Amino acid sequence: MGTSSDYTGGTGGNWTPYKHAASNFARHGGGRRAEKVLSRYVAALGGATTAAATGRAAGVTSGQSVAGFGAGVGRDGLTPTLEKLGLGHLVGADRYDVLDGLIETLGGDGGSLEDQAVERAIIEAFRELYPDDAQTYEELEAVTLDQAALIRFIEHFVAAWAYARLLPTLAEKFSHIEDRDTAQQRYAELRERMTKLVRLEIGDRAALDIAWRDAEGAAILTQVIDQLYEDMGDLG
Amino acid sequence: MEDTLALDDAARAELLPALLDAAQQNLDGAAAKSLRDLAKARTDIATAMFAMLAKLPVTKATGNFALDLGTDFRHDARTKTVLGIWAEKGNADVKRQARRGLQKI
Repeated sequence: MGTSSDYTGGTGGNWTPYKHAASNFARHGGGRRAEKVLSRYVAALGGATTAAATGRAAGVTSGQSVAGFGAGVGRDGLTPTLEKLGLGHLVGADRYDVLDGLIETLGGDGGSLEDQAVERAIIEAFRELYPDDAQTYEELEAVTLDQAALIRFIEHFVAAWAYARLLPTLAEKFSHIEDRDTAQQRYAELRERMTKLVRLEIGDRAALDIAWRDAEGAAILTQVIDQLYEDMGDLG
Repeated sequence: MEDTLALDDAARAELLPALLDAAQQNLDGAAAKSLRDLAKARTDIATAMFAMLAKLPVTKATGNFALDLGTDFRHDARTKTVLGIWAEKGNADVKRQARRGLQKI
């Protein structure tokens, strides 16, 4: 993940009101100020369409992989899913090795900030899917996903990804933040909206049967990401 | 929710007004979620929920509830009516989410 020392966003233009909003939020907190941060962040990136488009490819591609993995676990279980991904050597391994292998396979190479956002989101999604007490392979294998759980898994990834993209630009301003509860609350609101958008997009389709790695999955994830940035842009 | 569904009709009818009242005070709250879940399971509760929504001031509509209606009740003709009003008269977020919901109907 980038830090304030290597990336704080751009300068001038729409970055100036964004940074003012971020400073205000860091100093005083509050829901309204947090909404301004999100909307001005989208404006600084060039508006909702551009903001979504700049990272969409990475988000959609990795989202397809994550969703495809989740659907595989839900339908067939962990072992067949690992084998299909060419990760059969991880069958029987412990939590650390399995998750490490999955993050490496499903994420990018971690070389860019966009890759790092994807990696962070995958880590968070897996942390949600596999609770800390699932340490052995047998415990990981015992985790199942039904339709609703798969949707939660996907929304967790997408919301975490969008948040991870935003985070480097906030790091400097938030380094002295006192209102962490508000930041958490904003994240929770963002995630709640994400859940509903994902559910609306998936509609009557069975999440476990969607071809996540094909055009169908790409179309759903593209729509969700575009709508998320549209929502964020309209908050101000 | 299971407890409420397990009640006999008379007992449930006694609880319903309080649930409807609490739900309309905050469509993003726990009571509204319970009402929505119950309405998915029972047509009489769905009827009561849509009657409440029909009378609800649009200022109380929320984007999240619009998305939930468009998802959970997309096959119910009354959803189109409610979302149609919200899409026309709601605040910016409500309008946008109501339109999204209408597109899925």
